[in-house]
Amino acid sequence: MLDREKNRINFYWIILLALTLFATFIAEEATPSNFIVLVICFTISIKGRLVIDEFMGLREAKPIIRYTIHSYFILLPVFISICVIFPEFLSHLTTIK
Amino acid sequence: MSSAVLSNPVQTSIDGAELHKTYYGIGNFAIWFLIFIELTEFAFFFVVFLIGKSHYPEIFYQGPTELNTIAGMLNTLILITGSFFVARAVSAIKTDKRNETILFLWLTFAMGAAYCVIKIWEYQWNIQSGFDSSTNYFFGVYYYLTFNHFVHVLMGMSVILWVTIGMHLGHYNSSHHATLESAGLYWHMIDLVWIVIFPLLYVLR
Repeated sequence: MLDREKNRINFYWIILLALTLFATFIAEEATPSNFIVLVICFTISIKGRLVIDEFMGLREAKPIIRYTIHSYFILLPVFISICVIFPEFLSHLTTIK
Repeated sequence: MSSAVLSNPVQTSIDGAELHKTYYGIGNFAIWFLIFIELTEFAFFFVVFLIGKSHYPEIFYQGPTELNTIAGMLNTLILITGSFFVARAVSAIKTDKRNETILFLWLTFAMGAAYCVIKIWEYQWNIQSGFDSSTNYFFGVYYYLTFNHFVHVLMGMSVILWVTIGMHLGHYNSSHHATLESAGLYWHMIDLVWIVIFPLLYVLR
């Protein structure tokens, strides 16, 4: 069982490295667009989830802890996407008149 | 609880750690409180960055193109690998593989050191290229955010060093390794924060 855990950790390490290289390559080579912003934010969410579940082992944690940390990596990428795609929205909210 | 156990503080503390483990599944109240505080602190920094980006779009569009993306990417790979090593260390202690645990803890520490070397080199590269914290709002937030994270990496390295010494002294085994597990959780938190910092500062325009 522990050998399986070791192989699982090795596998997700490779996936995380590949996701990092993929996101960097896309961002450097492609013309900046809303689609690229969404791809990058989706990558943040997936990478966060993989570290939480596979490296931290939060599958075994109390659900409130697991879901709170998971929600951080859902809400934050969504918030970043909205703010980057619609900057005037945040600018309007934070302007002192 | 027998009087023999009560008179043994080490045994009492181990029981406490195991009690926390039963309640939280992994880690204890102190480490989860710290992790939530740290994640909240960085969430505020990210909001400040995004507010700045919404008010100064030209500066924040230009900013990432002036940073060294290779250095940022290397640090991402290094921190993910550090997280991988610490996960392997926690996995190894569960089967009492003492030497393997020690090896992976030292490798985690080495990843932290490599991160620091690259970050210092990157700061020097920025300064030589004429970008310091007073250049513009983007670089102000960049230095504040990344230096803050850098300090957290140093704290994480100290924690990893502490449990590595504990391993050398034989303090942990397959039944009692709650402290080592908590140190690993703190290190993962540092990695999680960088997973957001790298795309936000270096990649998104």
